[in-house]
Amino acid sequence: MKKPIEIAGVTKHIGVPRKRTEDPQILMGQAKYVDDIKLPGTLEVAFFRSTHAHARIKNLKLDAAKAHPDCHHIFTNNEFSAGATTFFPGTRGTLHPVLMPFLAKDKVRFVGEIIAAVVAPSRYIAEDIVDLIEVDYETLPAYNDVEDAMQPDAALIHEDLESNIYYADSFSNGDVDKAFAEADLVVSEKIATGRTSAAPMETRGVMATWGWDDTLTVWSSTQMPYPLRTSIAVNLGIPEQTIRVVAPTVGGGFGQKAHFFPDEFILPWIAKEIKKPVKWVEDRREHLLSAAHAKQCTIYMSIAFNKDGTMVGMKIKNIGDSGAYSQYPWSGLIESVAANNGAPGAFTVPNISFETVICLTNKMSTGAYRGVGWSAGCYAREMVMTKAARLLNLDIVDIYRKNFIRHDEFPYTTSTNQTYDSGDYHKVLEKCLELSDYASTKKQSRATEDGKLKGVGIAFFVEQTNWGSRSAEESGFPATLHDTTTVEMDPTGKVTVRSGQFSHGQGLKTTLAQVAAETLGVPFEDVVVLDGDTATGAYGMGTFASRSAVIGGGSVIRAATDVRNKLLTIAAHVMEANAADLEIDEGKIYVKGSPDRSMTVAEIAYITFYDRFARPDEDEVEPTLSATRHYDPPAAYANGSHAVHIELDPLTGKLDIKRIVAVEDCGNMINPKVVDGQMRGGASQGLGMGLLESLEYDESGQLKNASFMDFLIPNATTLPDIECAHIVTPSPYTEGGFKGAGEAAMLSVHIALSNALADALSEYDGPLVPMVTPIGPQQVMDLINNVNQPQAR
Amino acid sequence: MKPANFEYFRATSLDHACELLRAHGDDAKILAGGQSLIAAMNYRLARPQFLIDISNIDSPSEITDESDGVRIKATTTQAIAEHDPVVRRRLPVLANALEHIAHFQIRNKGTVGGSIVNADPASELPAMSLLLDAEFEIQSASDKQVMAAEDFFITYMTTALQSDEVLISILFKAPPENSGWGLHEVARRAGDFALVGSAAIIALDDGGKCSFARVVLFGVASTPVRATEVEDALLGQSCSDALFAEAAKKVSEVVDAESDVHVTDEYRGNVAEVLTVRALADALSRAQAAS
Amino acid sequence: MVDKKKISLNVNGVTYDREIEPRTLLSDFIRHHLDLTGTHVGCEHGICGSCTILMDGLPVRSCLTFALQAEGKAIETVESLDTNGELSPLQNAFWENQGLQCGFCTPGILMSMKAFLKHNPKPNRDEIREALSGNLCRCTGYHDIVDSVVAAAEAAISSGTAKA
Repeated sequence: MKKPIEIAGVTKHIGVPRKRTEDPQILMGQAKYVDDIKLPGTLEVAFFRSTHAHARIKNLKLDAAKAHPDCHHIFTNNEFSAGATTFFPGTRGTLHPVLMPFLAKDKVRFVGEIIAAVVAPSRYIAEDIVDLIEVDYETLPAYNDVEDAMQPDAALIHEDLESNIYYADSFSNGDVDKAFAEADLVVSEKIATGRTSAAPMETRGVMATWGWDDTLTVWSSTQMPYPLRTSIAVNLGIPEQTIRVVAPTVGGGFGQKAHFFPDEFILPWIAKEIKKPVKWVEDRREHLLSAAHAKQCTIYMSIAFNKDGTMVGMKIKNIGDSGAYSQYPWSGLIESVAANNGAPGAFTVPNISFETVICLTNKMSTGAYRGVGWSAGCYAREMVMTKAARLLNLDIVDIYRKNFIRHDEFPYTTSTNQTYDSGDYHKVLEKCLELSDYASTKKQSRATEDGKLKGVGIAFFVEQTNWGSRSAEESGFPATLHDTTTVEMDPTGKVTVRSGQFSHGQGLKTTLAQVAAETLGVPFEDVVVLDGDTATGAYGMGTFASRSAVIGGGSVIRAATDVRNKLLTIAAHVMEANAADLEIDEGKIYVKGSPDRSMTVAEIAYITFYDRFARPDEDEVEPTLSATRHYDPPAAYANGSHAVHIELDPLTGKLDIKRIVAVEDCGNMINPKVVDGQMRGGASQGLGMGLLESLEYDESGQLKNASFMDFLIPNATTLPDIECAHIVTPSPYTEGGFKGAGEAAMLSVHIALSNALADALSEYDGPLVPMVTPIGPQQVMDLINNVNQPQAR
Repeated sequence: MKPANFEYFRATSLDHACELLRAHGDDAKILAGGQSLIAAMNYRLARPQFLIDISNIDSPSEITDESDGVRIKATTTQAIAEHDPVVRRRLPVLANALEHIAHFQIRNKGTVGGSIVNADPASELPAMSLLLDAEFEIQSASDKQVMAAEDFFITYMTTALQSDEVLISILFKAPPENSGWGLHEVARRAGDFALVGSAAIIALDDGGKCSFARVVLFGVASTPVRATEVEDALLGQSCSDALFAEAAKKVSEVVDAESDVHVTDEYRGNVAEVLTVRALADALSRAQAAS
Repeated sequence: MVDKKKISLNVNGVTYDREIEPRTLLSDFIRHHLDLTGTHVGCEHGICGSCTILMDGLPVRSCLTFALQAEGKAIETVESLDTNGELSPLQNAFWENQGLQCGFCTPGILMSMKAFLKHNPKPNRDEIREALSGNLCRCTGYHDIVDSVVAAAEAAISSGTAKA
């Protein structure tokens, strides 16, 4: 099919930094999040959760709780036995299903696992009742470190599996052994990335009500209302067409809310059971204990180099710390499998082999969080490259330039079989180097007058965006992911876009409207985007994995093009012109070259619906102005670069970030202001991972920092301003030439930070290159003193 | 995360609060700004049966310029103390320390007395009360007493205050004329509790020798601690970077740190020494400027 | 069972008289007893700042305040800022500069910044960052929020509404 619009940079609506339509309601405090929705008679739920990391439940004592005068119900696994496993159809290796009960049965596997659900008039009272529940446990060995849990004699976390390892695969391309044998330098390191949490400012929450007409309505702070609807139907045995899932305003998700959690089944089940509205709003402690964790990997990375910095081979073993379950629906593979399949990054790596091992531990399950897989995988690769650069007396930039896939090589298929569509890596890197004054800073002295050490670091990333089926498959997951949009014009000529995507901060109500306005030729103000409600949208996968601009935008382009073509056919009849000679611009349809021969879109729309005398015969053209189109594009790979300047206090290990530069190529931008917002927000989260965030479990499996007092995310003084720039190479594969942008910002800024630290310490004996995240004051001092570095086992 | 039930009493004055404490005894707790207590209650780590609210007593904030120092009524908010001209003029180190406490939204409600009574060993005000030889005016329904700061802090979050007693006011003693102060801490982000902190006051005699030295560390033991060994190594000596480096080594005598999710005990000990050198250097340059 | 207590306070210019359990947090009181849900709750231990409201003009954490402590006080929440749907200059500056994404932290930030700009009408970027440090935002990386506050200060100065 012919491309409907040719977008080169800025058009009337695309590439325009339009203010967001969603903002006034939020700014006035009128936007409704889950906990803001009120239904008369709503009861509140609090969960009784495990305080042991690994234990058998010997005796659950509910009598005192049930005797509380305000206790409406207590539900346990006895009443509610459903559970679920990941629903991926397959992967490259062997995946042993890990069953996740929605309420713990017989045993608990992490601190925070739900054992019972208490229903009471208020959350305060529900918590009082939870306090009255007691349980006798028989404790079992708890595993914190994957390399302990994967030992053959380790106690089984799931007794129906043969091992705590439930997935393993390997892959090889080229002659890796030969490449390593002949290389001038091999650098091998163990890298340990810390466990973090997306920690959106709005915690999770679910409300459900059972209607008099046997319908179920569920409000959830989710990123994927349609798949949640299907999941509720399948797992609870409720006909899907009787379920409505609403994601109201959602206060951030970052991938974490693109999972299905037990509460999203427990609440609907309770509502159906007791025929009353019920609500549960996760508190921050619960959130840190039991909303998907992320990014903890143990990675053995070896890279073989020639003297000139050419990478000739790469060997990886990535051990994913799955936590206690394989987080539904993506599975616990998502971090390590994606990391390994994307291991070459921006570089030509002719010989590569990798092993992926996914192992259970007695911690909360890990799942998707912005930049899933790559944050850890890229960090491992780049820290080894940085160390190699130092050993080869090169700058990391020399290694980048030497090994980059060149602009003229696209489309380029990597040694891990990912097909990169477009890019100009050299140009992006040079832009970032220039804006960050990298070369001139490197020439300056590291020491400052007040005893600090200056450092500058650079990093580069390639981001696999727009997760549709093919993008997923190229990452090692043969999943089926796609989206559908309905575009409707009503008799007044106004446009409704019904999307299966769901904006929870990304501004899709604005950007998808920009795309529809451009495609249709109507004013932006005439378009309304409906999302987040299965009663008003179109079935789609939701918003995650940098997919909505490309897949959502692309399906809007396709559906809007169909409506436009229909409109033009009808207009041609009405205006007695040739459809090919008609133009639409800002709501006006006119004959090319004769702007006075025109009618408005509203007039044609009205005629379509209400004037059977003026419109074409309905056997010829059906009098509807709507279209539903699907889109499942090829993968598109964005790229970009970050530079970070720091000042390090070498006596306390405290480092201050002085400058951040971010350059990104996400193809054509729909709304550059939104893209900048994504770049800046992602950089903040990337630096959070790099500098501050670590969920720390003790030996017995207790989470030691389940509060914002001790689990630290960046505040406004953690970061300086973030300078953004763009290089645009449109994707030749996607509608509109869009590539995704959401996760990109998180993929390399933490690497630039660690490179800046290595640079600040470049005059110390070493080379001193961090192999962990985060690099808090303790880790910096350990690096300087060369103690407590990750030890290979 | 909601607090457990309690019975609530609103005191109209600190005397009234003492009466209420006598009536309800061990199961009662004073609620002032609540910035630590309510957080602990929300986590249900604290479950007082009775709360006696002193946040709405008549004229809660009073700061008095006295001959030997500045007296601050315990219920004075940290924000009012921070911006008070008398505090800023006579106790600049205290004003600086107040700015380090959490964020202004917390300081608008958190009280000077509340922070001291909460006795978190990493927080600034308990350390300041040691640094500035504070005297605590303590009252019960039947008794009044004055207690020196050095006798007040027992261990982690525990003070000498009895369950029927209320902290009424704190007299922070003004340091000697012509003295200078230094305060350094390492926190992971602005507004976080210090991982380690060190505060110092130095005064010089006419010959330029150290005539007064006071060094207090926080975040390094179960209470804030005065490093008298460091002070002794300074008194009567000519101040120099070398002297400070040598003297600061003696912080190890008082450091009894623990490890937490952020840093190890060893880190705290090492950095306490680093920060003490810096605090002394700042104190010296301010003392020299004042002379 | 604990007896309920009477409370009378003024929120956004309206006086409310209610009976509540003493343990009712001011944040829950505003949200669930008065149905003013613009004030958000993000951590309930005073760190995130989403629940920041003004009490007698001063920004405080409503999650670290029992409603009974607000007896007789004047409370302002985010709902007080606009005039019949017309955004205030501060809100407008956030809209113009995209000083928000998911918007959950935004009401707390607006209330903190309202008080901050009154106290410091011509702040520099570092002062704004310091003032923002008690309000966590996970979406924006703060840069566009700082831009918004700068713009709000400039707008106030140019329109002559800034206090000296």
